[in-house]
Amino acid sequence: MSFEAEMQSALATFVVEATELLSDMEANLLDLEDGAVDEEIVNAVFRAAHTIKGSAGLFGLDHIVTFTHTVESVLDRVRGHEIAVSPRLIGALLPCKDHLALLVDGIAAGSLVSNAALDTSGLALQADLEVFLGEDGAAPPAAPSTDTATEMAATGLMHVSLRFGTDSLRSGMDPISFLRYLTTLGELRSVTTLAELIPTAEQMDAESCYLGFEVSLRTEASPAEVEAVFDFVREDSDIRVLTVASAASDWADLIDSYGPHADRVRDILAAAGDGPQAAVLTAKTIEAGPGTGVKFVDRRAAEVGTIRVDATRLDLLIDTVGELLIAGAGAALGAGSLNTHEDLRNSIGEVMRLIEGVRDSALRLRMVPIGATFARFQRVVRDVGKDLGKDVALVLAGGETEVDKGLIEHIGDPLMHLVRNALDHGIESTEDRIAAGKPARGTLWLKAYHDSGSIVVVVEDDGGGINAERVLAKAVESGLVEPGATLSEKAVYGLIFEPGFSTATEISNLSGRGVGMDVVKRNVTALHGTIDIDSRPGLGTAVQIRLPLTLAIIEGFMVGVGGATFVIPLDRVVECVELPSTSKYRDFMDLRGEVLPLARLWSVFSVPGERSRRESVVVVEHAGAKTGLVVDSLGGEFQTVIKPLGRMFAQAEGVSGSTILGNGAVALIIDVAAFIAHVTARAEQRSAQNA
Amino acid sequence: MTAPDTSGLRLPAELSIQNAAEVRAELLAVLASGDPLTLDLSEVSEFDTAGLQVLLLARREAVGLNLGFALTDVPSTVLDTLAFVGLDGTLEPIGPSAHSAGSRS
Repeated sequence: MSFEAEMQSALATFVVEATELLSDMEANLLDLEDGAVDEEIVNAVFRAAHTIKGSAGLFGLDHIVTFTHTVESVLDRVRGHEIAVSPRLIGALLPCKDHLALLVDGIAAGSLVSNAALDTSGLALQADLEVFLGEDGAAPPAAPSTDTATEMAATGLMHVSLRFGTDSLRSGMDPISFLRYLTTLGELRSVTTLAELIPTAEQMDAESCYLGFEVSLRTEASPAEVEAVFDFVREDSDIRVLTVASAASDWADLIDSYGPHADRVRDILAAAGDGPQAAVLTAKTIEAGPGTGVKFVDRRAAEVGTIRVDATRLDLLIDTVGELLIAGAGAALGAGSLNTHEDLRNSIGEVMRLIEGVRDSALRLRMVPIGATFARFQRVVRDVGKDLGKDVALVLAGGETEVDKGLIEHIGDPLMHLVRNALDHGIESTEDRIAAGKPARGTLWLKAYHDSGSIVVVVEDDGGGINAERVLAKAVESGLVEPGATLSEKAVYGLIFEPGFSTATEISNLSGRGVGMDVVKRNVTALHGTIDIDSRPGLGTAVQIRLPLTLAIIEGFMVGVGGATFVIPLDRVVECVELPSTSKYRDFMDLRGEVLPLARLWSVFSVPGERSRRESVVVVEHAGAKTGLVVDSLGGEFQTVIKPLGRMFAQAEGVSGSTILGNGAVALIIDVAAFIAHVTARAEQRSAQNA
Repeated sequence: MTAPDTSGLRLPAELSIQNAAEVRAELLAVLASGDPLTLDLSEVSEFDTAGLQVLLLARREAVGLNLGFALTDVPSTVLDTLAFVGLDGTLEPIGPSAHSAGSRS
C-alpha cells in the first residue's frame, strides 16, 4: 500500500469512528435534555469531543480541531459544574454536533480543508457558545473534583505505557506519530523504547508493530484526556495511563504484563520517577502474584471482541458461498443420479450440510442491530416535535433485532417518512389531546422484532387514528374509488398507499414534501417486503413493515417453461392449480368463483419450444391483486442466492435478478410486482384497442 | 574473494512500512553471508516505527552473530527521531569494525 493509500485508509477509519462518536454524542445530549442527571453522560460527551479533536489533530485537520476545541471548552465547564445543563445549552450544542458531522462528511468526501460557507456557520456557532464560556469571565479551569486531580495538579506527572497492536503499522497508526502528538499535551520527560519485544529474526514480520514505549509525561491534561489520544488505536493495543495516584495493583499489572521483561520495565519505571517508589513496585508485584498475568490476558481478549470489515469483502464472501452452495447442489445431483458409492454420497451430504452452515454464518456477518437506525429518530422526533409545537416521546423497542446491512440502508427513508407522517398527521396538537382526555405528551413507538423468517418494524403512535370516512371521501374525490362503493376498513386504509393520495388538508412543510405513502410502499415492496396499516379512531395508528431477513437469498419456487426455468419468490406464491381446459385459449380462468387473469410466461418472455400438454397455473399475489402465471411444469421450492442483473438488463421489466441452478443453467427470478403491473397495463392497452 | 564493499549498504529513501520487509530481508541476507553491516542512511527521508524496528533487529542480530554494525551519514531527521524515542545511544556502531563513518567515496 502506498503512503497515500494508507493515509486514506487511516482517514476512513477516522471518519467512521468520528461519525460513531458524534451519533453517541447526539444520543447523550438528548438524554441530558430529557433530564438525565448523570456525570457519566456529561463525561461521555466531553470525551467524544475530545477524541475527535485529538484525532483530527493527528491528521492536521485544523478546522475541525479549532471548532471542536470551543465545544470541548464548554463541555469541560459543564463537567466542572461551572455551567449547568439547560435546554439552552443543549440547544446550542446540538447544532455544533451537526456542524461537526458536516465537517466529518467533508473529510469523507475528500476535502481536508474547510470552505467559506462552513467557516461562516462554524464561527456563528462558536459565537453562540461564547456565552457559556464568558459567564464567569476568564475563570480558571474547573476546580479539581477528585483527589486524583489534586495530586495530578501537584505533580503533573503521568506515566504512559504504549504497546500498539500488531497490525497498527499496517493500518497507518504509527506509535512514533502518536508520541509526537503527546508533546502537544505536555513535556515528554523521558521515552524508553523496549526493543526487547521484537521477536527473533525469523519470526519478525517487518510490517508488524512490536515495540513498547514507556513514556514519562508532565502535563496539565487529565489522564482521561491523555487516554483519549489513543482512542483510535485501542483495539488490540495495550495502552495504559498511570499516575502516582493510580492503584498500586495497576502499576504492578503494568510490570507483570511485560512477562519476561518485567525487571527491565521495573527499572524504567523506577528511573522515570513518575510512579510509586521502586520498593513499592517490587513489593506489590510480588504480592500481586501470578494471578495478574491471567487477568491481563483476559482483558486483551475482551478488547478484540469486534473487528471492522469492509462491506464489499463480506459481499464477495457471501457471493462465493452462494456459488459454492450451487456447485455443491450440482455435485449432489450428479452423485445422486449416478450409481455412486454410498460413501461418496454420504460425504457429499456432509459437505452440503457444512456449506449450508458456512452460508448461514456468512449471512449472519452481514446482520447488524437495527438500534443504531432507530436511535437516529430521537433527534428527528425532537426537532420535528419542536417545529410542530407538539410534545412527543419516542419509545424504542427491539433495537437489538438484527437486520441485513443492505436492508438497513434502504429502510431509513421509508421509516423517516412514516415517523414524520405520524408526528405531523398522527399525533394531535397538545390542546386536542387534552380535550380528548389523553396525556398531553404524545407517544411514538418504533419497534422491531423477528417473526418467522422476517423482520417486522412497527411505527405506532397514540394519536387520533385515521378517519376512514375522510380517506374514503378523498379517494372518491380523486377518482380512486367509485362513489357509493363499500369498502372494508382495511381496504380503506390501504388506499393511503395509492399513488397521488394525500389527506393532509393543509400542506405542511414536513410530510407534504411531495413524497407520499405510495413511495414508502414502493420502497418496501422493492425490498420484497409488505406494509400494513392498522388504526383505531381516537386511539392511534400502527404501520407495520414486514421485510425478509436478508436481500441476498430468497425462498424461490421453480417453474419450467419450455426449456427454460424461472424462479418465483415463494412469498408471492398463493397456490398452484391445474389450468382448466376451458381456459386453454383464454386470458382468465375461474378460480373458485373468482376471475383470475392469466399470463402465459412463454408468451410474455417469448420462450420457444413445445407447450406441455398439461399446463399449470401458479397463483401469485401482490398488493391484493392476484394473477395466474401459466407454466409448463412445477419444480418445487428452492432456496437461492440472488445475483443482480447486469446494467445492460436493468431496464428488463418483470425480472428482478438471476440465479444459477445446480446443473449450471441460469434461471431468471420473476419480479411479481412489476410483472403484475406489466400484465395489467397490457390488458388495459388491449381493452382500449377493443373499445 | 572480492574486496569488502567499502561504501556500505545504502538504504532506500523510505525506511518505513513501505519497504521494511525488503530491507529486513536484505539486511538479514548480508548478515547470513557473514559480513558486517554498514548502513548508509544518507538517502533516508522517511523513517517510521517500522524502519526503526528493522534497524533494531539488524543490530541485535549483528551482535548475536558477533558481526559489526554501524550507521553512516545519518540525516538529522532520523537522528532527531532516534533521540526522541530514547534510542540515540542504542544504535551506536559496534565492532568488529564495520567501516568508519563517512568512508564511502
